[in-house]
Amino acid sequence: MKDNTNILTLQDIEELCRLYLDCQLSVLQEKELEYVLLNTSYSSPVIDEAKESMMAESLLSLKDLKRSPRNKAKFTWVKNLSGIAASLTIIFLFSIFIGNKLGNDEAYLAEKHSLYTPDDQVDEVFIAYEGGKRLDPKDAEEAVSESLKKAEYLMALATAKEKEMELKQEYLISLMTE
Amino acid sequence: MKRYIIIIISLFVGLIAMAKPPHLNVEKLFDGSYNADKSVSIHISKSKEKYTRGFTVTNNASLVKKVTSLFKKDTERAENSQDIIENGGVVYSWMTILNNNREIKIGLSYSPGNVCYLFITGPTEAFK
Repeated sequence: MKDNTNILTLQDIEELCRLYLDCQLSVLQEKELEYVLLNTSYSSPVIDEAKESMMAESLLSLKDLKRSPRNKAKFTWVKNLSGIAASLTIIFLFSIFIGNKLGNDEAYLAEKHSLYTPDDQVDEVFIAYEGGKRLDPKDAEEAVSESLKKAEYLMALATAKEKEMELKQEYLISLMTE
Repeated sequence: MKRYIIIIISLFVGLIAMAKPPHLNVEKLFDGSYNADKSVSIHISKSKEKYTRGFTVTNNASLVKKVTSLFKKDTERAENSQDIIENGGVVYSWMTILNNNREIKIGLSYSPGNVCYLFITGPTEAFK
């Protein structure tokens, strides 16, 4: 090809350029002419016009390449992947935040009082604070027992009141049906 | 894109919904911030089967108000709740909350002199 460039005269190149501008050349011939024009030092209005036309064509083909379905598919795939990665990251961070926030109470108790660790070894754990101070295990057990009794009494009271209400309702209903 | 996000969020929400702590408002009273409060008595008992917590307030009107407010917030999600009213005032309120298919019972009683006693009790499984 390099040899051809040297052999071709200005007239030959101009003739080829005219054929190119008239779309008379094959794709292969166009490529060869492009190569010739890149390596030749000749200049004329026809040659310059052909060069400009080739440059414009190259730019257009570059744009087409960018818009090609293959590239588009590749871009969409990358976009989806980055989207999924971003979503997972957000969810992960959100779950850590929520987990920390909601687990504060339990974590506090677990850390400060070893509320969970003795579960495997001890049957029951008692913790008590009174007057701003933590009670020792023995006093804590007594205080917690008292508190449990109170809670049990209140629960029994609730059950009794519920039954009382039910009986009252049944009585009233029986009066209405009689 | 949106489809992936919806699927991931649905999975996440599904996992969370499977087993969760009850996140009761009244549990905030046991976060350690009242341990040093002289007007408060805290009692906790925990075993593999049962978990009970008691919170007694003595002579602290603002704290009694806060406990009442937290309790009321939880009644919104209660399966059932009842009040015992005597002499025009509530003396005892209780409710049942379901969590992990287990019943949690919460009670709040009032006594004269800005005194109240709150308890939360239920199977340990209900709090996990």
